[in-house]
Amino acid sequence: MMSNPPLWLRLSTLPLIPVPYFLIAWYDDLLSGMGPVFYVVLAVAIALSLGAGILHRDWLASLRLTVALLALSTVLVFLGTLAQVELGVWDAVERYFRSFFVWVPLDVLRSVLAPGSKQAWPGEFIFPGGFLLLGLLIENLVAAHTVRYKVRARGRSLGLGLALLGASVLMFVLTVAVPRISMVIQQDVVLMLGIWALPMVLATAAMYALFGSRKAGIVLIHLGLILLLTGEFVTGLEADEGQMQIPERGASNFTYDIREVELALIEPLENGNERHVVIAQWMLEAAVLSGEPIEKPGLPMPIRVEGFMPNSDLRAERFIGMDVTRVDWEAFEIDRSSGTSGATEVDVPSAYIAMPTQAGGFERVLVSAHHVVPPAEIEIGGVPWRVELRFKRTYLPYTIQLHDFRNDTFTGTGVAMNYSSDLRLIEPGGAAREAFIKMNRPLRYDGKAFFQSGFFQHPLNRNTGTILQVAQNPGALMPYLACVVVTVGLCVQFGGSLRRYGRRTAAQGIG
Amino acid sequence: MATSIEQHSNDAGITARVLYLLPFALALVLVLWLMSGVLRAGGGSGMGAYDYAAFGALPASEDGRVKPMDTVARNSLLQISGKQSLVEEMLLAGEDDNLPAIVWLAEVVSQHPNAQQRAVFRIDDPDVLGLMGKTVDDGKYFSLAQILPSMPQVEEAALQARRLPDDERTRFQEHVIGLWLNVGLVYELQFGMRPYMLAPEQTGQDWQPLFERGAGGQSVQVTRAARGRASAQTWSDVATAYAQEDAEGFNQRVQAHAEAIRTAGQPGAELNAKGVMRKAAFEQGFNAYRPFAKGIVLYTLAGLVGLLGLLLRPVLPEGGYKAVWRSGVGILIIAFLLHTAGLVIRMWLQGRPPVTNLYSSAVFIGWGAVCFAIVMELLSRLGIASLASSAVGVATLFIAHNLAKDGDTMGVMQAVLDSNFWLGTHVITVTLGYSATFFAGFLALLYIVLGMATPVLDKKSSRLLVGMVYGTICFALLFSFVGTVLGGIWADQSWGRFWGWDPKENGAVMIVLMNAIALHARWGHLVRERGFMCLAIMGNIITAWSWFGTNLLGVGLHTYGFMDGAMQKLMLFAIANLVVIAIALAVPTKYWVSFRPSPKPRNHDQGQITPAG
Repeated sequence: MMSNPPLWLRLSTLPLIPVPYFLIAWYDDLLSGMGPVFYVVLAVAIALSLGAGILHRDWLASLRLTVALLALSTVLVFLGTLAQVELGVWDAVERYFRSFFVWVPLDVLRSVLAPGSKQAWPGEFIFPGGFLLLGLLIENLVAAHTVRYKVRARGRSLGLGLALLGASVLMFVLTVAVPRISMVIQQDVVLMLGIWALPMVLATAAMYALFGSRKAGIVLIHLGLILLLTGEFVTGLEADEGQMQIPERGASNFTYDIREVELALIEPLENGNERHVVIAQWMLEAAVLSGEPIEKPGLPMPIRVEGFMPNSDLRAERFIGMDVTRVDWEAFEIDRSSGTSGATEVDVPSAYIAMPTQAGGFERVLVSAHHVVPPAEIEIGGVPWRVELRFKRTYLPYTIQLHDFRNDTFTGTGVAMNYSSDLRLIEPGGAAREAFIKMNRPLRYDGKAFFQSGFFQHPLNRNTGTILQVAQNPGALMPYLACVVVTVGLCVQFGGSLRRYGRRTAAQGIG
Repeated sequence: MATSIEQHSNDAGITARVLYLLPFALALVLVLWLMSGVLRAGGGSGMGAYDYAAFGALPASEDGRVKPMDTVARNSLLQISGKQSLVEEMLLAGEDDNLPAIVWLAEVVSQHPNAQQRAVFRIDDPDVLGLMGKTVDDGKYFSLAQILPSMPQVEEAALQARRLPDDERTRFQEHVIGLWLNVGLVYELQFGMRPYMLAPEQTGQDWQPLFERGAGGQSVQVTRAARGRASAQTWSDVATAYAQEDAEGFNQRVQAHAEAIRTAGQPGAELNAKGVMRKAAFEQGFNAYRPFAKGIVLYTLAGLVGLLGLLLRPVLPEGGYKAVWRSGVGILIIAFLLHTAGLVIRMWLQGRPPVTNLYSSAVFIGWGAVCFAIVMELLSRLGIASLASSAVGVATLFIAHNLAKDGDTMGVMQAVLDSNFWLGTHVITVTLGYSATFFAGFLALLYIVLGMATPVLDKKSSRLLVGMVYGTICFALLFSFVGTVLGGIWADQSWGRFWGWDPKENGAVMIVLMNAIALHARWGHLVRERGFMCLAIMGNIITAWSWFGTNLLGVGLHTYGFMDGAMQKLMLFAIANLVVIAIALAVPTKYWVSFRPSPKPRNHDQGQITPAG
């Protein structure tokens, strides 16, 4: 055992430990400034943090700390679940799990301790957040491995163990990194297990060779947990989610993000195409605060934003003429949806912008992500521009057409039995292929997965269409791998203890 | 002298043989009891001249599932009255016994005058009673005839309340909506809108009702199927005969209707009529047999015999104790086989893995725990695993019995959940995790109760018991971890998102964390036997929370009263467990009856548990 390093070294390295977790927490703000350099910085920070952790392993590696952190985590998960009643899922996750500390209102306990009471409770207390606990748990785990789980193998068995481990890692990396393989095994879980059986056996054998039979399982379990957390970090940093709406006999070539909107100014071009100039949501919100009009290259005029409502509802002010399909809408702000009463609940923003009129003055115009509100039309320099507030779009290099959407329900009920979409995918080169999507059977293409999510019906012409959930996640396979590794680890460990227990009791003549 | 010794050893031999055979005799009696129940459930119910058994076996489609009329009757009556059969308050003059729900259904569908007079609507809320001009002193059950005069007010209040979001309704508003829906249910049964009793006759057809609501929902009109299908006429004949109190005609026409359904399934048609009828008849028998109610009786018996054995051990001769132990385990095994049969039959009827909803999860958690327990008991022979598992068995089956009030326990599944692969892997594993954690918790409770209050534990047996809890927690960690991750993988397969911090997911992860805490604390020697047992008991609270508590957070899916009561019961369970922990930690082990240092050396063969047999 190494003697403790000098105090000055211990004190000066202490602040290095939390750095990577701060980097991950501030990822959104940092990445826009640093670009890919972020990942290099993150890797260095992780290495320094774990290194510093090893210097502090006398307390950081203790099982007492493990138990304390696990207990705090249990309480945090409980509190974070209760908080969802008031805050909704997304806010609660941000505040409780993606934070270092959280101020917990005592009121969250009301729904358990005094169900039905409507009076809010005053007071709050501070509690460690998800990043802090998870970060410390990782440090604790790594430090523990430098103390309690040292490689015991020497000489030939060390070489054998390392060779087995290397072969197994290589095989795993191949299956995960080669898209042709990873796409296929993601679709078919049974095939995945078959392909991973050999590298898993090799990895287990390597652990036996390196750590001995008593610790092989535990090392595998902890390795799997690290994989699981890494996968979640990758997902948190890199995963992207969107939706796609396609009417029957229609087509679409973009996904949209239901959590963010953009203001689009659309100029029709001579050749029948359109030019879209878009303004991001944060710019709209900033413009409301500052009162300054938005100016941007490509914009035909400065845009003055008079009000932005993160979630809104509409009321009809009056009909335009005698046509009931043309309504003059008034938007008003409502509470943001909490997400607890149904996963389909979406905030629908609206905004008021000031547009120049022919007469030279300004007119207050409603733009809204509500479908019933048509785009505003305005003539600038003889060109009829359209202005709309819409969910933020990402265009794809291919197009998806919908032939038919089916929505079967159980006899005499509104309970969905099956949703399915009959699609045609037109690839960038113009080649077309047929695809069929239903619940639990997505289409995988271009590193994305298209899931059947729901359907919509146009309020006026009653035409139906499909809603697809489009997910892109480079870390998607990590949880699968982690699950396999931990499961094998648990079986090895508990199977081993069971065998030893059986041998011991047999020797003592019990049972 | 020699003869006397011979006589004595002969007596001993006879006693030993009697003791040896006693458990088998007991098992035989119980098996005969269970078999006689099968005969009774299969035969006619023998109520007067009407063949209610044949009527109850008729298949019909309701809420998306084909089921026997008997199930329709039980579930409908359960929903409006909270009872599965006609209890005293619901009987009319001259009826003197518990009548099955099918009698009531026959009256309702035939519009027999009795249907108006039976007090089958349960109304508890004083304000709803006030709306009808009644008070709580008028009783809990009311008839349609009593409710109808104030129906306009009830409907107005219900429609008004329905405009409010679920979580803003008052208790009165929830109850008035409940009453309005219940009256609507009976109205639909009465007017042939429910269940869908007309069998499909051609490919592409589905089950249909006789009548449906017209446009606007105010009127009732004949369906198209009612004009064309043979079973429309035969069903109407059944109802007419019952309304005319023509028992013989009723019986004949029930047969004719069954025949119409049977012949409806022509070769090539989608309906496998014979299979459907066989299943419906089987389900009716299953309903009448009530295997899980019998299971509660058997688990209780097994628990009592086991407890008796533990407590009487010091005064019983060795052979006598062995006989009691074997009897207890025998009863437990019979109960387990019955439990298994019930589970398997439900799987066959539903065509699904065993856990599809809260009700079936309760049945399965109990089953899993008893399964663990039998293995442990046969290995350890302490009599404690079987005691803990009979407690879990009774508790979970009792909870299931109460959950059955929510409606059809074999209801259809939403599209996204409709995957037998994931129901069979994720749901089963995570539920076994619940089973194992509960079982470990109940073992730990027994350790504390038996250790503090009785002399039955000693060093050796308590070490064995701790070993059992340790092993069970290892299994619990394995199952709950794998189950939780499989859930994430299912979510990833269904909508591309591995983890969503949903309350149910969080609950599962709390179980994983709790089991990890217990094991790490033990490995790090941070706790000894007593502390480890207290951690295992904490597992009870966490598991109960993630099983039920997380469901109670989502507002508005169940009636207000159920929600309110359930959260309080959950709290009571948590507090009871915490109290046991607190007492166990407060009293040093040297004052525990089992571990009290004895002033003189005790005979180790008496008073403490050592493995039997």
